[in-house]
Amino acid sequence: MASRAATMAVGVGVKAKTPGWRIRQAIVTYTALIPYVAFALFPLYLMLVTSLKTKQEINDPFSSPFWVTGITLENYKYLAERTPFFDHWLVNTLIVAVLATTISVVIGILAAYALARLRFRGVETFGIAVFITYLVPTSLLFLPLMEVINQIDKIIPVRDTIWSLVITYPTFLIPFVTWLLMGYFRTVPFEVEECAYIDGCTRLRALVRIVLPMALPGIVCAVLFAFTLCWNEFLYSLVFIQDQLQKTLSVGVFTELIRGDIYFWGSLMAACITGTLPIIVVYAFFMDYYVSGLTAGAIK
Amino acid sequence: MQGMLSRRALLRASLGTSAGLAGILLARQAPVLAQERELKLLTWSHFVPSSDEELQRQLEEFGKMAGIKVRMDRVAHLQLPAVLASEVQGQKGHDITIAGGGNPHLYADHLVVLDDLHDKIGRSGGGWTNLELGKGPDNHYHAIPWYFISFPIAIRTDLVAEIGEDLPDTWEDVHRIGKKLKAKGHPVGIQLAHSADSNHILRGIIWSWGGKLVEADGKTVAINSKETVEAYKFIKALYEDCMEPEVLAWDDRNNNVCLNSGKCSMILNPISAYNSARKDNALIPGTNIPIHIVINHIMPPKGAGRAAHVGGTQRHWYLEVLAGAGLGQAVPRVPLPEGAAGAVHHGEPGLQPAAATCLCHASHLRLQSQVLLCALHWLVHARSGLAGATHGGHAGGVGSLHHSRHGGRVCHGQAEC
Repeated sequence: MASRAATMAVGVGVKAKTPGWRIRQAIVTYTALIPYVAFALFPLYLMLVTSLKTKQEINDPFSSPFWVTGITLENYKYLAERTPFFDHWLVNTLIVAVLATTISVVIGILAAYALARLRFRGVETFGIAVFITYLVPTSLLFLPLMEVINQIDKIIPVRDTIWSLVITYPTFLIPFVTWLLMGYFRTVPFEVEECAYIDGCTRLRALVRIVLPMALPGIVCAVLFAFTLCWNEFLYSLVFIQDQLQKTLSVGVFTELIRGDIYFWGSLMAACITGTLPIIVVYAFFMDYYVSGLTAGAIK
Repeated sequence: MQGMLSRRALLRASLGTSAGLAGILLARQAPVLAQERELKLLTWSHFVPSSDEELQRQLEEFGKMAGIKVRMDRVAHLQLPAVLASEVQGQKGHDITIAGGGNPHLYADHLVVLDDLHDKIGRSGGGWTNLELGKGPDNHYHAIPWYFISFPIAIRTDLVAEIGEDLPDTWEDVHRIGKKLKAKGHPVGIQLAHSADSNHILRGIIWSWGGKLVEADGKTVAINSKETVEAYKFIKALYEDCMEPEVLAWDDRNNNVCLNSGKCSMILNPISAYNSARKDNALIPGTNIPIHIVINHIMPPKGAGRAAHVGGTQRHWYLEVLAGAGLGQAVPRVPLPEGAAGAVHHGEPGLQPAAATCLCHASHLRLQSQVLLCALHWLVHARSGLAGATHGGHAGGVGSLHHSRHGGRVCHGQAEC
């Protein structure tokens, strides 16, 4: 029986590697995959196509919304020449996202490590409190935060500048990062950390040299999420900044390209595509870490 | 070693810096030199971009004239409530802001009384046609009517001509013409949804049938009337015979798209549809003819009794002057429902502010400009200290500087305004 089973296994293996089998497998795989990919990428595709259309074509009810007949860059040109999209809004958003993410991840790592590793009274409650903090909607928080910004503004002029966002974004990013990393740190075996202590490491050194490298996928995941949240944030940016040149992408585009009941569709789509690119690039670079970070603890 | 900082020098510098910072922190105020005085105006992103450019020009011109720094900020109109709420909450923000609708009611406590300014502008402009607009619950003016955006019917004249009809005078005409045009594939496009314009339009139709939201006292609800029911019967017939179900899901922009794409035969809207059709060079489908040249605007038709302007009080924009500690004053306190019911009947005198009517008319633009300049002038001169208080509470702020220069008087005459 054992011999027969081995023969069958070899036979199956040989058969599986034939060109015909590979083609069939490819057809099955891609047939199943294409609808999902098409569904996910359709909004991006429609944005791209619309951003390349002339205003006349966008208004023409008889032209296909899914294809462009006369490609034009006028919408991108409008963004570059008639709005501070590239020289201010994009740069502002990048600065805010990088700084707020850095601050939040550094603080979040320390907080998450403490809540995941240290044993002190109320640690569970603190963990839940952090999570609940994250759940409070920004639409409730923006009014008290405005008061905070005004108080700070009396000492350091932060109102109407991107620094008001660098200060306030961590209020929702830190709870998020902390909660995300708490779960990840718990998957890092404590025995490894113990070995470091035995070898003479302090807790901080063990964190930096042992825990963080092992938790790198989770940290990258937190960075990506935090960066994306910063990039897309709207309400704080709207209420803290009215200076046209200090605005971030989300609010600047909304202000400049939606005027009353008139939507500048071509330029809006061009702005959306252009504003999405940095996020796509960041995700593309860190995709492997991102996936492993998300699936941490899924299998033992 | 030369050029290096000695330990003693470092200590001295550190102490000096610390003392300075401590002083600033204790005073809770930035150093005088760091406090830059400027007058800030908040407005919406107008659907005609050149309007914002002109406003910016006027503001800068005023800044040069008054010798102060000025700044104009814009937000999308749907986001104005969030910004105003945050400025009220923080008691800090712009000096003057635009507002419409019910904001004067919401923010009355945060608005400066503008009686003297209202009187000055009224006298220099030949008087106000409606003295109620801009008043607060305390019977004082908290806002200055700035301009009024009409809500005419934008109609495809070529399509109306094709069926041998004239432009409609009454809502019954609209129904008859709309029914014929829908049969030809060109329905009427009036949004019956949750958008702002939808409410303006429906309110106008109710008024056209003699219905009203509240009684003259502004408090007694009066919408449940025979007139309102008749108005809604007409709206139902108009929807069923002349429109398509998509209007039930429209927002403020869809009617523009429908008209400019060549599908709709008529819509009720300010001139934004026409303006964007002209700007985008939208064509009549299948031709090379720009569609804007066959779009005409006619004033709202008559219902069962009278013609009511669908824009109404909700479409008046007001200049608000932010209170010293914060946001502004400018929102008017028009009793919403009754003000709307009474103030918007097209053709009835005394219901639209003299200095604030249709945006698209050159003479009105001049009036608009005068109102703005007068308000700015008043803010800097008559309300001395306001700008300074708003921007740090310094006694020597912008207002005070000009107060001493001009003796704090209010502007006199149109030339000065």
